[in-house]
Amino acid sequence: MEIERETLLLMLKRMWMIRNFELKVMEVHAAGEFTGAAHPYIGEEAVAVGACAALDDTDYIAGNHRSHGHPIAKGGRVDKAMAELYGRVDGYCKGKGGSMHLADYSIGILGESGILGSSVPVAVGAALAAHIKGEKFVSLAFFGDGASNQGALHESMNLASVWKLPMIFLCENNQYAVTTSYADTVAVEHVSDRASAYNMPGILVDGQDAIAMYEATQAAVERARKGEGPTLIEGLTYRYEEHSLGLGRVRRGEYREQSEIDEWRKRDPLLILETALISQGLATREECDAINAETVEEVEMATEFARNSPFPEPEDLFDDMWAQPIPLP
Amino acid sequence: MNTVGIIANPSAGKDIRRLVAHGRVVSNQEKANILRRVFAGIVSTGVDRILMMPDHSGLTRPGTADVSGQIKVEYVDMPVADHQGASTDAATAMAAQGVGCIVTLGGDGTNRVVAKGSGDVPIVPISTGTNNVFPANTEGTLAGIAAGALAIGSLRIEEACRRSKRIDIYVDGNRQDDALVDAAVSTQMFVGARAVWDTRTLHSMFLTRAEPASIGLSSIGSRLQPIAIDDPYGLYIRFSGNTGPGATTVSAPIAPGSVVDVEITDWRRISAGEKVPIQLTPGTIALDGEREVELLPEQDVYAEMTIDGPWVVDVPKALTLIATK
Repeated sequence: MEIERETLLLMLKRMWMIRNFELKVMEVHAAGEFTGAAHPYIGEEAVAVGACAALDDTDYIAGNHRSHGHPIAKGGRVDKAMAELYGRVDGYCKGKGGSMHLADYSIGILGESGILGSSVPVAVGAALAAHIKGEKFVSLAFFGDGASNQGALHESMNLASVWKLPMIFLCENNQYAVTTSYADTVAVEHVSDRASAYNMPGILVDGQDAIAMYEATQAAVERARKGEGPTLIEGLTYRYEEHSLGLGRVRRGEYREQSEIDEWRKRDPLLILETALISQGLATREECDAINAETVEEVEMATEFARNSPFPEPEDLFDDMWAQPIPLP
Repeated sequence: MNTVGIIANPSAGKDIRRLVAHGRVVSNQEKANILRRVFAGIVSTGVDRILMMPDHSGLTRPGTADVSGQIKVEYVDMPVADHQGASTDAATAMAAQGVGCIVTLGGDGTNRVVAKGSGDVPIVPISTGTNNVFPANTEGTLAGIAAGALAIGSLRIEEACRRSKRIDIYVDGNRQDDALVDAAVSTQMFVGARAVWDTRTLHSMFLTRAEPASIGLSSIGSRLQPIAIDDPYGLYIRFSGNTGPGATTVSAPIAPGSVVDVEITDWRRISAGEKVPIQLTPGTIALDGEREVELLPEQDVYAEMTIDGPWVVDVPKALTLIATK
């Protein structure tokens, strides 16, 4: 099915939003405006944006430690996301979660986690809820090539397949688990090969091409809604920046060649989508630039919003931890 | 030094057709097993060297270990890459080094990119892809024996091979790409997930062959007029526009597990050298099952069939010749 122009332009906007959000995060983190780990998603924008464009607001996603791109791709607010990174009360988790905890249940964002693979069973739980309730929403879990070796993922794939849950396992294979090449640690050529062990289809997709990711996810969503069970999608992609901000000891070039980074930069997902839109006459260069500029402005406003928001009070520390609060002694 | 080349595509058979159809899955373990059998066949013919495309997962490693000490085994000096250009680069390097035959593991798409670099070196294509018109379900050992016989010169190309055809796509006067079996013009605007599975998006199609026992888009043509690999003509089918004398509806297996009715507006044979304009924007051209070329406004695009495609080893015929010589 052909993608509507409006959808394509929204995809471009969300990709620029992620790119400019991450660039700003790198800038203010380097300036010491907030501390802690933060994992730039730059280079991988097409995976999350293409996938989330095939989902409805009522569908669920769960992310991982590389945690800013997924909620923005699902339509999350950048001001609340930035405020959370700054640890302020107007953040998504009232400033108590930080970079790796951006949740917005109203649009299906279950949140992220710094523990590799740990959010996958949470997403499967949402898929189980759809199954039990007899509803048509689907659930999608993002995880990386490193997490593809985690037991939690394999247990999740098995159970999701046994119960034929409306679940999409989306591996963002950026080819490095921190500094370790997946070629040295994953026993199969492609993570998607592992689907056959769990009796589900697995496909390999160009993760730099948002339209390819959209089409693949759309096909998986269709299967899931028809009750045909889970799918494993592997988006082959690349991380342009280092694993995490604040990890000074991991320097560029120590585990991957600059020439390799340069090759992947030639396939920048934003360049690919903009080229497609412009060459087919769906957008002009000026319109693409305007979308970029618009997101720069929104990210600036989000940063000001975060800076002006207060820190949470110490006595609020244990609020919101439990559905049924447990009284402190 | 006589040499057999090996190009095994580890990414073959992993595209979206496993979701939208029931495309088969050939595990890389099985690909490695096939290669072990290929290696055994090659060694039995007395070939001096096997030259392989390197890959991440080491598909060739078990076979290499099997034949250690019996034959020289080398990799093409090239970076390991996970894109289709790697197969073309490997084939080009093999042709430059004078290999006598190249064994491929993949589908139509894999062989298309190998053929871009292999020149006149004959190919033994073993099917491990999704659409497998070009490659055959050949047993690896037998494929290895046939490839080895060609490499050592006990079989001649002319007697053991068939010359395939090719559809060349020209954009603004330059040859931009090609297909070995089918070039399908689709109304889909972007290459996206590459496969074409919705026949309602078909605008027109060019076929070098249309064999009733094949799966994929070329099966549509086989319901109109069967065409063999070396018949000196191809087929041009239209799915939209003004209805012609060939208007009809056919039922065809356009993908694994997917048999659909397809409305034909018109069709006719095409001959080598005939230039057929492609007038559709926006749109894409799928080459051997995968959208590759985006049709842009203001472009002058046409397709032309040539009978100078790659040589393909006819394994049963080659083995018969070996047995009777």
